[in-house]
Amino acid sequence: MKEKFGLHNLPEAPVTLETTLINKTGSWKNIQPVLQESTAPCTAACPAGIEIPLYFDMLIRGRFDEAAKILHESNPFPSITGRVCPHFCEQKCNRGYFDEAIGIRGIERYLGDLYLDKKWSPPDVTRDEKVAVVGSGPAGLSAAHFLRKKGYRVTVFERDQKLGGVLRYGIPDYRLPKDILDREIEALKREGIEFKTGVEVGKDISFEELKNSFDAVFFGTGAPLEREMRIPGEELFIKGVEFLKDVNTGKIKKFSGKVAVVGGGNVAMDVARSLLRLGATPVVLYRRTEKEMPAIREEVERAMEDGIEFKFLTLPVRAEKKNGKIELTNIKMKLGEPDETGRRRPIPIEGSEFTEEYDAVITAIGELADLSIFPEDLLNKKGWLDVDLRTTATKDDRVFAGGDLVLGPATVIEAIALGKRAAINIDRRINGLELKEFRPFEKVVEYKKIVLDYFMEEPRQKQPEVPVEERIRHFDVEEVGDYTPEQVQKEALRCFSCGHCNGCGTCWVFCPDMAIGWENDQPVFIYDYCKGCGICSAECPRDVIQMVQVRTF
Amino acid sequence: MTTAMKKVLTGNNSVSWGVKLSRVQVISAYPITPQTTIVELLSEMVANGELEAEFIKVESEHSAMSAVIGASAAGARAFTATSAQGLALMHEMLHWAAGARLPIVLANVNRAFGPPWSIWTEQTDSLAQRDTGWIQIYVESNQEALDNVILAYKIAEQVNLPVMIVLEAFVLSHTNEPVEIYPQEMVDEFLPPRENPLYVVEPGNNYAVGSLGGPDVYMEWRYKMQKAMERAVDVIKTEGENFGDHFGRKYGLYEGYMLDDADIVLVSAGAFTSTVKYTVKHYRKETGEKVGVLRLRAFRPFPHDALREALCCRKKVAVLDRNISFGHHGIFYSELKSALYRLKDDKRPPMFGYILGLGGRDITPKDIREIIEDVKTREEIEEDIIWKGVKP
Amino acid sequence: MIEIRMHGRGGQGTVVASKALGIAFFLEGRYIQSYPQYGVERRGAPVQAYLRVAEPGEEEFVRSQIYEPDHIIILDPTLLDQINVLEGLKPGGWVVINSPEPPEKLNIPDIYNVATVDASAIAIKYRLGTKAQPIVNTAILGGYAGATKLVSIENIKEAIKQVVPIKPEENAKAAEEAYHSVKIRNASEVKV
Repeated sequence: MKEKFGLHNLPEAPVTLETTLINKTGSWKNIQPVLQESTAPCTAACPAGIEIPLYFDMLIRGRFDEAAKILHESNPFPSITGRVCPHFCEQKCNRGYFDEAIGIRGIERYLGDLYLDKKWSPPDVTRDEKVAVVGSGPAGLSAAHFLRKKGYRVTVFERDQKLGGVLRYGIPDYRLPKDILDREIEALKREGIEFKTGVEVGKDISFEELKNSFDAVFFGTGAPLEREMRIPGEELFIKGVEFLKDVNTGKIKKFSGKVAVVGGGNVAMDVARSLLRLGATPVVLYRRTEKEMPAIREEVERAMEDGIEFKFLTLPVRAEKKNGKIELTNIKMKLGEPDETGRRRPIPIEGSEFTEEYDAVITAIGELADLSIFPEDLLNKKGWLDVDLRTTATKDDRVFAGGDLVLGPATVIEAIALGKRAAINIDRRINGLELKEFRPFEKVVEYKKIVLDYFMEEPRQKQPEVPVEERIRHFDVEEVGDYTPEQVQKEALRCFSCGHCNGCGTCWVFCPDMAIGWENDQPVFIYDYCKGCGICSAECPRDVIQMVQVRTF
Repeated sequence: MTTAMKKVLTGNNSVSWGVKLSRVQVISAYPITPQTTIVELLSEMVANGELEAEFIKVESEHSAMSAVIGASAAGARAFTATSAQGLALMHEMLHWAAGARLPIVLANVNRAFGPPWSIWTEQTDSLAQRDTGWIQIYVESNQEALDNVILAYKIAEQVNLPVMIVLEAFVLSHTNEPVEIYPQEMVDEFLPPRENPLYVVEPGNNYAVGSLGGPDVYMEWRYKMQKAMERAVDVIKTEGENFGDHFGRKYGLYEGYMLDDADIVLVSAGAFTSTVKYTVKHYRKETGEKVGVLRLRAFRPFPHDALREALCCRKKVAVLDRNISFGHHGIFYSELKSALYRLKDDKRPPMFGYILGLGGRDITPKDIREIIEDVKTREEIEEDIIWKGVKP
Repeated sequence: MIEIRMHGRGGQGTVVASKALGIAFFLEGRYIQSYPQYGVERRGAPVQAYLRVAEPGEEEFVRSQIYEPDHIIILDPTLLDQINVLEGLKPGGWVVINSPEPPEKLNIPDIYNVATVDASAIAIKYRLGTKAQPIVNTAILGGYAGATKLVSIENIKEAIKQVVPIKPEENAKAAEEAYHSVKIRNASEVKV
């Protein structure tokens, strides 16, 4: 029989006499929340899939070691990409729709530099197998690093005297100081990777010989050949990649006169901007318009800020030597229908030729891989190296390839990504496992899933920059500076943390049934009392809590 | 032991010092003139580490009261302060605090309600909270304001009801007077940390506060509240005496001034009673007439028995209300009338209810003198409101 | 009991002056009560502050406003033309006023004692406030003490140091200079 309540047995204050936990109110529901992280658009946009919200979270909490480890897990050279990456991440950043994209690259650079000289202790050699890496550009160095981490003995072959490939001989000092590159490479040496410089495969050691001496070979030999224009007088031109190499090795220290730079890609921009800094007056000739330029947008803008002249819809058709100068005849172009790259095709306008005088002409209309070292059976019908980009595997079980060699002129981060992909699959191949096919991320957090009520507009932090008039006078002064530690904190705090639970506690605050517990800075759902109302999911600012069906009636 | 120091303080800052000396642990408030400087000083004390407390900033008075309710339910000593419109916005949660039996202390600086907007003093705001279950104590001086914050916690934590300390806008809140600040150890001896809360909401204690109370239990809990209020009458009296023993200043349910032999008693509450006392003192000196003053301190619980005893058999009682209950009369007047009803006809004095000083209208010795003269001309109650100072 | 009314303008520190003078009297062992004009202050608008000083040994006050002050302190001489600052002043009372003029030059009835002190010049000299708006509230108190001799300059200086938010030494020096430079005209014999 139920006890009767009265003055004699009621407590002084109106509190329940026993726990209310006996009523498992959560047993009556058909949906319930789960913590389900998904991919942030920055991560999805990054060729290397760097888990940006995750390492920002650690950074904000002051857990720098963990932040740096997460970053290095996908990208061993953040000090390099933190300077030269076209930051695909920022282009897709959800915050960009709100106010301004997060300065991800600046933060990456800061954290990279912080750990530049104190990366982790070298991984032990745990495997008998040996792997060769050909080429010490970003793809090769990345592959070497990740293979070494997996316990293999790794030897890198580089035909030049110094390591770094395009990082050393292609990218000018004002964008990437040599000191930074040297320190990144030092860290790899400390990892126990063996480097053999001045050794050219196909010349000093044959492809077969190499293959037979190692259990697997990775090729990351880049795209070092300048495409030819195939016009009369071409022999008078300097090739862009060679010019850059001469500048970067210090062979060319000065350059004067009016110089035509033909092309609209990154090499063209590097050549033009380098020329300006060496004393010349560059003029960029490009056959399409500014909009179609394949160069990193930022570099085009900087070149224009530098005051470099651009002549669009202009294509050289022949050249002659006259009075010690080059007389260059160009034809004007117009844009036609889009081609297979989606860009509008340039069409010459008949009778629009005009002639100009230049002291020199440098071509940078596209770079090609040197495929002469590969046996025929590794090439496809077009004569290119036949590589499955999802795995980096070639037709030869023991040969893998990545970087510009397979992509054509691309970016450092894409090379790093393929280097890591190759390391993973070389390891799997050696272990007799099926290769892992890399595919785009599927569940990416859309902007509309961010609950904007929790964010206030706040301008993006700006990295310091050397003023234009100052920067064009130096070749070796880095034009962009570092964030301060305070700026890094501020900027990281702007991050929506799309799809990653950063322990904000909003769900915990909102749960009307106190059915959310808290462990390790994350919510834990107490399903016995969760009625499945979904407020936690609706209020989660970053789309981390999903409601799932647990019962159907 | 360090000796007490005297400082020139405003009424509001006297309250702040009372809060500091009471070692309050959680403060939450929303600014409103004329209260603001109470919590302004407290926030400085918290910020510079003089007072180890959480200062919770909120977006409204409703939230301020909610925050201190939470803090008090979690076992902390909690404080808030407000005025007029702010107190009205708290109204719902005032019921909650009392119903949950939480010993919160609130300082209300009496301010008149709008419209028309007014920032000046009037007692209607606090008196309108009569039925919320809060103990209410009206103070007259800055020293009494400081002392009664300490005393309020002592009382509240024994009967488990919240206490409202009421002081008048500007007349007290912004007026500087020398105030004695006691050494902390001395206050600690009188007021130890909060002991024996009825319950503490904390992780691991699996019970609910404020859950549904059906018709089968609700009435019993209201009965218990009323009993606690009745008990509070004795506690206020006893602790007021203990306070006197400890600090040298005694406080009662009410204060009598030249009361013992008085034929005509002027009854009032709050700071303007100083002017009443001053006038009565001079009036007696000049005329020899036995006029006295009874200053109400406790309004809830209303000390019926003590007041009946104090006013029994007087010739005349005049109640001075700086407040009004529209459609009825001065609030202290009507409360006192009901308290004296139980006196036999021949022992019950005729009462005259004066309403004056609304919305901060100055109350001068001249006004009081005129009221005394007016009372002398009256024999029977002919009207329940005698307006003083309404301009034609 | 002494009742004092101060006149100034919003932003001049009139209320602080009333508190400081109250503390100075308190340091003399007197019970005091000081308060501002109740209301909403505006910068530049005429404001008043009040002070009551009890007779030695007494601790009782009314809490009504002051209508018939014993002394009047005027921080801004331009108020003389704007409002009746002498309203209710008891005959024989003091008028202490911030002015470079000698007391005789001010058109104040001879039933009052008049003291002038160039508090603005002194404040500027000690860099209190700006040249456009010198903060004269501390200098005027030195003038009051020098004229009435009801409170010592030492206690005035100590009180000032307790209440001013910045430059305590400069403010105290300003009061001291005012104390010594105040000019006095006594009331003629008051016949009641």
